[in-house]
Amino acid sequence: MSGKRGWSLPRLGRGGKILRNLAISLLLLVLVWAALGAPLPPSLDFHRLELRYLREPSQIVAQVEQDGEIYVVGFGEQEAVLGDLEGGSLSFWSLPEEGTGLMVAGSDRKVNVPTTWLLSMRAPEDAVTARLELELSAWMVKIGPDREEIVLELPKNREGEYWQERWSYSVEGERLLSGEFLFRVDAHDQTPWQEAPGRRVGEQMALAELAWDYLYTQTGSEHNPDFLAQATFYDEQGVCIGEARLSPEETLFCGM
Amino acid sequence: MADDKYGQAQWLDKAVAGIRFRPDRAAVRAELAAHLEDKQADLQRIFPDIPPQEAEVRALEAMGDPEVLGRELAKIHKPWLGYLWRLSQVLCTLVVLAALWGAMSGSNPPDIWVHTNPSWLGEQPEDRQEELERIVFGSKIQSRPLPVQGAVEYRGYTFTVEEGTVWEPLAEMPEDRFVPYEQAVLLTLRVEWSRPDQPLAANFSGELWAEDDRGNGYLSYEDYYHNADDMPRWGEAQLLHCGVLARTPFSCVYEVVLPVLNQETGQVKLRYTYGGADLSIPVVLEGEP
Repeated sequence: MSGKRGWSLPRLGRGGKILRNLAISLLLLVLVWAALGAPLPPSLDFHRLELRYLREPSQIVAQVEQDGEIYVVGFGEQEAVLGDLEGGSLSFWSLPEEGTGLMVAGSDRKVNVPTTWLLSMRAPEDAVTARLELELSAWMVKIGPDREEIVLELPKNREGEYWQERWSYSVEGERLLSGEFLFRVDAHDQTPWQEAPGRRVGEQMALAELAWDYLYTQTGSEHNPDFLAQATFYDEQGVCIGEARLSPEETLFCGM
Repeated sequence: MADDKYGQAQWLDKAVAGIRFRPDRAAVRAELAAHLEDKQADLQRIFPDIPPQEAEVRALEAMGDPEVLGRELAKIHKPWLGYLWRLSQVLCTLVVLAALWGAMSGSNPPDIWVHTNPSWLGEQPEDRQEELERIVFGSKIQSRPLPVQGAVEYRGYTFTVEEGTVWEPLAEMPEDRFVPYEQAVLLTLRVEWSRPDQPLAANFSGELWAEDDRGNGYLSYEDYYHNADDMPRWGEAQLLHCGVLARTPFSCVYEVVLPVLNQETGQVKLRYTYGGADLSIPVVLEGEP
């Protein structure tokens, strides 16, 4: 044997091999985690989202799932923060200065939602039960070459056969550990949108529109859909101790 | 007479009995068996007349007491290290398979690449000058470099004005300008963070607004175009442009174009106050570069 040996990797002992395998595993795990969108538990994901918006983390009061997408609500000093974890965005509702308010714990990211959620803001401390009454109405028209696609529209924007539908909901609130009440509103028509004509379910489209964006940007005297949500809060004796309302007419939003 | 207390198989079993991790036990047994074979072969080479059986016994004697050897081997080959090694092999294999599956299944790859976008005003300085003359001033302009600015740390993010230019009119500007800006700042703003899963929110560029030391405010893109009436606020001062020039997993570089109302303005502040944030990035317009 003669000549110099080429450079070769040092031979690793058992411990070295263990460390090598663990280092490779850790690196690949991080890449796989990143490839999956860097998922975290919803509460941590929410706080991470708040940090990305350069906000102080707020106190989480509720977490809901709207059609497979998770929303987390946190309360700051003057605002309620709705975190759309899937969409990676925050929206803000003004906490009432006095009394109790209502907000929608969901967004209009999807065209149809079979379920949406409303949440109280600063519910009366002594409230043990609450009930929500929601009146919802929407004008619709069918468009498209087969006239199968429903859109929500007031009957003045285009030619077509418009009709209006109304829905009523009465739901018992779920008292959360935070003291707030969560109201789950299920559409009466639970047809999966994939099976509906034109892949649209009118009532579910109207429910989907109940969102911060809609309420913040809707101006003028006519709203479509239109709605009025009223929550009543009761103490242990069943006495009404507070109320809250939410509608396009009655709520002012100050964008933050 | 040779001690034939143990046959070779028994001797080997005794020697490795203390090794509890099975793969190690098998590997050490094989190695000892190889040693025994070598010793036996050596003896038969040195003493060609020795019967094979006696060579085996003498080889075993030379290896020593298997129980004593077994105790030493057990001290070296700890079972937990063996199991940890096996676990690391399994983990590594599973993770490699998961990564391959992820790569082949079309899931979103990690955003580890560098993204770049062209400048809003143009890549060449003369293009930028021409655009500013056209959009902002309506007359010829000249430039000077922006002074060096300090970095601002806010909630784990670092904001640094990397470089910039201040543009001022050369001559009299037309009276009928849409907004009476008297100078303009073009700068690059670098934002850095330590966690790649925590990039600055995407709305930063659209919500960035400004104010100057004369009390004037400059609306963000969102406030200028997307207010409650959904109509642009024509005629109001605005931060003209904030767009991403380059992005990495740990940083983002923005191009900011801010026309300024007064030529005497000495400092502006870039502000981000969406959702209760209170970021303020001072930009000094006058001084040595």
